[in-house]
Amino acid sequence: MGRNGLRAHCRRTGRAEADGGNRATGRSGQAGTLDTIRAKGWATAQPLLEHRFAVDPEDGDGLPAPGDTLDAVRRKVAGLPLEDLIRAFAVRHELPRLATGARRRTSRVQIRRVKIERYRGIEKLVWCPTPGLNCLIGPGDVGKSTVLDAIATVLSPAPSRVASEHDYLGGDVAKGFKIELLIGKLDEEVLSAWSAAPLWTWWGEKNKVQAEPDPDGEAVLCLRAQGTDDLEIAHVAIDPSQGEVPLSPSKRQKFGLSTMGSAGTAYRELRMSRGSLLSRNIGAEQLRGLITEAVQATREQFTPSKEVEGRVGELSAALRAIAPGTGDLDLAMLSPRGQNLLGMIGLFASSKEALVPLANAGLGTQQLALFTLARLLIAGSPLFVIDEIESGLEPFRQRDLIARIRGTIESDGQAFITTHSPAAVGEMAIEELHRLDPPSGGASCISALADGLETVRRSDPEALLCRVLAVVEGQTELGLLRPLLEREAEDIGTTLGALGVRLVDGSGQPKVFKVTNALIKANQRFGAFLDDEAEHKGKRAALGQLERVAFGTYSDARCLEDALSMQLAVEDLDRLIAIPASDGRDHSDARYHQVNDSFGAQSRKTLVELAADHGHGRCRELFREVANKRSWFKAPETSIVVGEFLRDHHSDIQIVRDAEHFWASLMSLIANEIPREFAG
Amino acid sequence: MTDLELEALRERIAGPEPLLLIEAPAGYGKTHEAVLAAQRIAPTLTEGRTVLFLTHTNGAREAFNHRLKGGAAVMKTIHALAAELVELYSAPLGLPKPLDPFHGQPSFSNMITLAVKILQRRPEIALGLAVRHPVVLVDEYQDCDESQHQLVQLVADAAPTRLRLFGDDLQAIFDWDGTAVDFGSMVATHPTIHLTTPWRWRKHDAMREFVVEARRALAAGEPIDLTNPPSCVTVQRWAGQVPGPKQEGHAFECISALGACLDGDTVVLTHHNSHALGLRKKLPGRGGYHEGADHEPARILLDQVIEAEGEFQILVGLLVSAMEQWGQGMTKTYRDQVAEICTSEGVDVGTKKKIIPFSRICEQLFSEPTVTQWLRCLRQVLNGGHGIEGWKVVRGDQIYLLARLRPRPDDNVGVLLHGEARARDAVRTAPRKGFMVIHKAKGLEFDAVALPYCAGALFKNDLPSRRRMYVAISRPQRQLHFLIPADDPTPLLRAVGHSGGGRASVNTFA
Repeated sequence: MGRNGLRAHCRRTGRAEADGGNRATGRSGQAGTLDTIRAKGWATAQPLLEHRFAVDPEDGDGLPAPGDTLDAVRRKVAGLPLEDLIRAFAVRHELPRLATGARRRTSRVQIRRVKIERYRGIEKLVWCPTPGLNCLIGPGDVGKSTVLDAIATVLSPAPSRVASEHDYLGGDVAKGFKIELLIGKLDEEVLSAWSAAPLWTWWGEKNKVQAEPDPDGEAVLCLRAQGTDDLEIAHVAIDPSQGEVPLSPSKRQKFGLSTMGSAGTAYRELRMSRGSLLSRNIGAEQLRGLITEAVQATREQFTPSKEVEGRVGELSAALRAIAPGTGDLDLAMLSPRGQNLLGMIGLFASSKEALVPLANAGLGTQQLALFTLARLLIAGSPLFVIDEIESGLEPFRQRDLIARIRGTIESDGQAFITTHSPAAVGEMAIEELHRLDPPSGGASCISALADGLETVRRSDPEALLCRVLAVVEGQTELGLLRPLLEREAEDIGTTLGALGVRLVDGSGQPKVFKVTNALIKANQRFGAFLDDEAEHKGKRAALGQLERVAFGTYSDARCLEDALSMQLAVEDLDRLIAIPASDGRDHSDARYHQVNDSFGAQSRKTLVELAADHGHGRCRELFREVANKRSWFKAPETSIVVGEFLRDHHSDIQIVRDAEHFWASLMSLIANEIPREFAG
Repeated sequence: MTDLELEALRERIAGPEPLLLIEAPAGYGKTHEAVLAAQRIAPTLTEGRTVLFLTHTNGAREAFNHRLKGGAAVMKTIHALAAELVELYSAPLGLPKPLDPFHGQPSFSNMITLAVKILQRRPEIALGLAVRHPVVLVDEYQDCDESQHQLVQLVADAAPTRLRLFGDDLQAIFDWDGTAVDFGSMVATHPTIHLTTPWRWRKHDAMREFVVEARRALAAGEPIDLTNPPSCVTVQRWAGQVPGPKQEGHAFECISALGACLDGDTVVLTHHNSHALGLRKKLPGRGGYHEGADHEPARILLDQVIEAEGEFQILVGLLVSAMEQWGQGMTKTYRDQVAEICTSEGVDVGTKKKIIPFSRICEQLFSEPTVTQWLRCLRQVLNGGHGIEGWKVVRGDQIYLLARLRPRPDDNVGVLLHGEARARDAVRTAPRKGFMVIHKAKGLEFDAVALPYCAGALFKNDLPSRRRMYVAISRPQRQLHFLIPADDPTPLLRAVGHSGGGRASVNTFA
């Protein structure tokens, strides 16, 4: 036996002894004892140690214990034979490891800045998310999911995958793509992944990053996923000298990203396919043997029909004719080609005595199952990414899920979610909402929503999800404009809803300016249709000047009542008074009494009749005063009939032209997002 | 020390104490214990955590690496650790990447200072390092200067770290500017383990006793008693002058006495490089001159070559200069002839037929006066293309180092040279015989050692001299030769006839 053979032999013997446990000596002995302690816990391992170590009644149980000082341990093991001494010390050495093994992560990393270039539909985007929950909203197809995927691509601990050409903007593979994350609040787990961590300095309040180290700024890592021109995704960390340090999957794992596949991926995630949520929760080792046995058992039970057997017999004979050595052929089960047998195992739920695969359950159940699996995996891990949180869930379950996400990330984690659900938006704090809008000039932009939009979020969360918001003076304009604008939309073959235009009650001036200011601050384009009152002239003028604001008002009138009184004939005003509200209630009697009351009369004369006595001018004036004072058109059900009345009978008056003008400027805001045939 | 006691010490080294100094004289197995500690600790660490072993020289790192087999620890020189940090910030610091410490970008000492600053300004890096390496072993800690000490401390303080500092105050011979840590007083104030088994001499009892007693004497400020030395120690006195610091010297009696000692594998240790080189020339066939990791001369010449790119005549001059500096047999006549045939118009041999082979090399330089071509010509010279009778290489360490460089167009030749030198040092093993300075011999062990210049001018009665003397006498396993100049004996040795003076005689106590 050569030297190598001898050495190999020794090694084998050593391991055999260690497995044997008691007889083991030296290092292999340590391993045996320590494995037991690790497996069974300190308390259950005590009897095993007890017959080894002398018990000193003066000193507890006389055994070395976690937390013992060096001297205490030495006293406890004094007089022991060398072999036991070694073991005792080995146990003690393990203590720091036992202690660190149990240590939970104390802090959580956070993404400080996301930078995307040429990834999928996003040409350029720079976004500084906030700590805690970040909920991305915005009209469809602007790239909310792309932002989430971008984050997951950089931090995903899965082995680097091949990019698809759709990951490149416009499919232009040659130009590559780049996703860059600045990660702050680094804990020691992350820092220790490098022997010299390539740290940059981040100034949060200035949103600025610098290469020079500065203890006053925050230490951040700059991580990148780059799509190369040969369709590979390269993961690197960028050092402060712009050098690229490879970012291995094990390093990426340290960031503790947890993504929850959308319900669409439940088919994969809820079975034991490689790397799925289920397999990461359960671990494949336990099942691998079982599935092989199961397949073998099924193979034995597999008995084809007589007819099939006959056909196989023919095949057998035919083959033997040209290959005489071949044995009898038979049919049996094979594992599917190129697939993991384990992928045949999935999660089932029992329902009414039948087993239903969870992947076939309702969307909502799938979503919650995914969330549960993901949450169990991330105990203590910092980053959570969920696309379309609402999918398949009723509003009450959406709210519950959001509450659970908050609980999972606690006060110092960070989560990234997207939603299209008003219920979910209603559950968010305004500072948790970030709106992604279609790019202007190539660059996309994510804006935090400002406080002033809190009233909108509370009263009409759906408005925050629309393409473009039109803030109007009050309920009067809400009713007046809706039918008028709907007709405009109809003229180009669509609807307000399809275009994503939403009218919002501004609650009058000056309250409305709170909302408009917040929209300006959040970098939003929007419409505003306001009364032309005596006050706040400056503020309205300023709004009218803004490029990204579609501004509208009444021409030559202060408000709707004013405009109606001037632009409609007295007969038409009578007709307007007589129309029942949209809820069917007829207010005409009350209104005529109010008008007649103003002349001191108890009669129920129409305006035309009154005009004969008092003149047309006086009657119009009275209409304006009384309608205003008595709030004839300040409720949704009464104002909408005004809009419909004008739309159907007076489409040539100035009010309608004002509405058309407002419509035109609204459309010009979103001109390049709506299909050409509509824009025409 | 019994097995049980030794085991207890080893367990303590591998144990949880945050700071432990391991103090031991030369030959007491410090490196062995460090290797053992790394092997014991490594399997107890959580996944992803490793032992960090810091050394001062690449040689020590490789020696450790060689003995540790199997990756129980990450091994680095302190400089490499510092360079790793500084290189991260090379752009904001305005430094080239890769760094070029041989041209002061940054200088070697500055490298450490910069690394310390980086860790101070970005303590998270130190935290990451400390968590990654919960155990840090440092070799030859007495050789750390203030900033190296600071660097180690910054890492160790960033997280709970087990720090193990191996050292020996009496071997602190690298304190050039007085900034080295005082390992002696550290030992007095911190928990320390003293290793007490002189492993190096386990087969040579007499030598062990001699070195142990000599250490005691040197540490106590007394001279080493050579009045009745054991058979493993010889003492000879010679008459003549000890050469000056830059001189090669030619003390005939010393050389002949030394020649008589150099049977078998003996290493001659001197104070100055010039002394080692001078003796090596006078005593051919007794081993080479070992300069250790130093490649300063090669670098200086290379810098001149880079500077002279395009200047044909200067390049030829530098080639001749390399042959002169690092070889034997280049005469003045020859040098003048080369200068004569190389004109600004080209190479004109004229009637000087003997020089034709060398003129061919010159012609190549004329047609392509570049660094790459110069190096190519140097290789031709070494392959015998020079045609100069009797010329041969003396300083192979330098000239072959240059000859190995094969730069591509974009390479930084200086950095290439550094890399080459490191690669060379990595594979170098301790020589068995030859000539070197005491500083280079530190950490090595030899069969026999001769100290030819035990003079008062070189070994005074002060601490640095005592330390140097201790390092020198603790190298051999079997045999040690002292050669003492009769006119100027060192006060560190007490030999028979010291006070006698007059005509020196050769006394051999064998």
